[in-house]
Amino acid sequence: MTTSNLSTSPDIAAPGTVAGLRSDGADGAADEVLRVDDLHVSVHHGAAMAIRGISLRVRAGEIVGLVGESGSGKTLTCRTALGVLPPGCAIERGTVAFAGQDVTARSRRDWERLHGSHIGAVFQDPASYLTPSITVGSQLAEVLRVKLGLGRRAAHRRALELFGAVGLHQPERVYHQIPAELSGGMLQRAMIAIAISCDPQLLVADEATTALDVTIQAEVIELLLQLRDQRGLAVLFVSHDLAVVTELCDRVVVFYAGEVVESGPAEEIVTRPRHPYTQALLQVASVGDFRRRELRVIAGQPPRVGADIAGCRFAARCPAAISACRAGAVQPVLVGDQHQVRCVRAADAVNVAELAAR
Amino acid sequence: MTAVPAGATLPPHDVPPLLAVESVDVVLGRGWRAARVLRAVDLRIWPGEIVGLVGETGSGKTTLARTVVGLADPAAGQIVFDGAPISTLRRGARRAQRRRGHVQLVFQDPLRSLDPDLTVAQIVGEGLEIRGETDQEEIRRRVLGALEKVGLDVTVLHSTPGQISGGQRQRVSIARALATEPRMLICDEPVSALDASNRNYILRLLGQLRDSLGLSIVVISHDLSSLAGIADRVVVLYRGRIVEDGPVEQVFAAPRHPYTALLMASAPSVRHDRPLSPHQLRRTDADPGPVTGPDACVFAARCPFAADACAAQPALETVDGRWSVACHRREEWGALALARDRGGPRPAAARRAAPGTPALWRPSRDQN
Repeated sequence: MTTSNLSTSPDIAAPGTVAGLRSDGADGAADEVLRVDDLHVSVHHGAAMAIRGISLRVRAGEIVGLVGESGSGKTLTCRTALGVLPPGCAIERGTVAFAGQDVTARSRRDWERLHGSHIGAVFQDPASYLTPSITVGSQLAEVLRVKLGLGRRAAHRRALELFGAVGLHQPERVYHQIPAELSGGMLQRAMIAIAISCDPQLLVADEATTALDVTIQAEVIELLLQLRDQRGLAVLFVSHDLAVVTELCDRVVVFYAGEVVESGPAEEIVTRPRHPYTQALLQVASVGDFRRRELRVIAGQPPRVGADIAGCRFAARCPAAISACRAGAVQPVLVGDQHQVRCVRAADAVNVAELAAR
Repeated sequence: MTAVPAGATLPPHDVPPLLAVESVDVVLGRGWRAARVLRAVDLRIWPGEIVGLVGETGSGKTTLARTVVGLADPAAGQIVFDGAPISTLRRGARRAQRRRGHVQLVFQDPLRSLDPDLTVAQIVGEGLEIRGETDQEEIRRRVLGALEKVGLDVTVLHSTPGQISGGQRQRVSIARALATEPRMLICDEPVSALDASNRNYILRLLGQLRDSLGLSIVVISHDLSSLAGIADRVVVLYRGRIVEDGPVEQVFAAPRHPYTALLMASAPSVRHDRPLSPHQLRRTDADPGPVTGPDACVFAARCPFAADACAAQPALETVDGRWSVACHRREEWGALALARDRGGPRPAAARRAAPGTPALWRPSRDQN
């Protein structure tokens, strides 16, 4: 099936949600959906600190992208926000607040009330999150019946509406198909339909487009933008691909070795990156350049997860590093409107490309 | 860009091709399950050439690679390697051909394709032992040589794949392939499991291997932008047929097939200056019903520009030198696409840069 039309039927938009809900003012506490403050998460039963002081916030109707290399702590942050930390991992310090309420100490049962109805999630491999032998439609209807208490007929009807809303062309047909009969793109749409079925305030998408073909990836990105516009859905989007993140996100948070090194409006991050690591990431990203060019790499390897490093964690790979970088912990500084950088030389207008060319 | 255009001059085609895939059809499965995965595929690869093979899931990229190394049989057509037909070889001869290791495959996910219980030294040396090399000293010398070619330190020699990083693992798979001194590498999505920096490292490495060893390399990838960095030629597959084949710079500057254009328009980018949006290249409900039929062009069902002529599959025709395209409407669709609605939600960046945004934020595009 070709999926070209992504129209979302307006009649199932959540009551009371208005497009453009987000306020761009500095004080956005009122519409903050997710707020993470000074989060520290240990792994291997406390042996290593994989996340060291992450702070971020997501407002209603805002798409925030987390980007960084594998092992930088993006996924762990997501899982903390979802309350599904893997075994051996624990929150050591800091808070995660969902819609103003601290959820760090919630019991599993409390979390279950949030899951689905307030927070939805989509992951990289949709096929492994669906039961292979049950039709996709009944898996969605089951969620609606359990979470919203809908009757059999009402659940069926709403499931079809949702399949239509995520751009599946023949909802009735898809309803009766099992996961193996759907393509990757269709499965990911079905997963998104399930994730948004109970009108959550927040959608967590962890590498949700990574395994898809580029044409399908572009369609899923458009779908997420549309859902945000029509429902005021907030999205926490994780990807290792900076290009994908900038296609979609309003704000970008750059992770390196368990810390946020830079965060700010996506356009600003892309056009005026201040942290040497962000600049390096931009040089290696697929910048949409189809001309023949030299493929660049970031020299060196990221530190071991949880390694104790005095000073800046990127200093060992940074062409702009000076002795002050290794002297002590680096605090984030504000360099523009909502644009933060964790770099000793934030004020020096460092340009990694020039330094590397020298 | 300080880029030195690697291989700005294309490898010469005046010698016989190293590999010729001649009108190959491949059918997988039997009886009612039988599916024609490749149709009339014609592909020639010359010595020292890097060819990018792109296409979506299920388009037959991997099947083509498997057919070339003899893991799948063509139902029609033949495969000629270095002047000798190899697809018609019988069992023993075919195994002998494979053991020689002139063509080597490199797989997508080294964690799954490398034996987790073997050390790097064993993995890289295995191909040599299979070929019948018995001199352990010679094997060791070649293993070290292969590791050196991919820039790996001898310290990894006794590690297992689980103990080294993702980028190092992919280099081990390439070293494994190089150990038998092949003439051609076929890399099936060699970088899609890697992050951007490691991805570029591996692609650059392939470029260097071509330069130093004169290898022919086929890179299967869905990341068109990185391919632009190393490939000489790009071949686009759609549902088992080659729809476009040409020099990478020419094809990416102005694709002649609407599917190639759709792939390029859909590729994520930090710039927002695409000539065409994906919307202009997709069918919408406003378009007339799709052209279908048993002989219709493979792309017709998805093509917004399909006309009556497209009820017959177009042949791959040369349009310019080494550039060939299979599209009846190759001269017309470009103008039609530009006239279509760019549609859909505007790119996030366009919304952010809406009026009222401080001029300070205006992008200066060329700084990277």
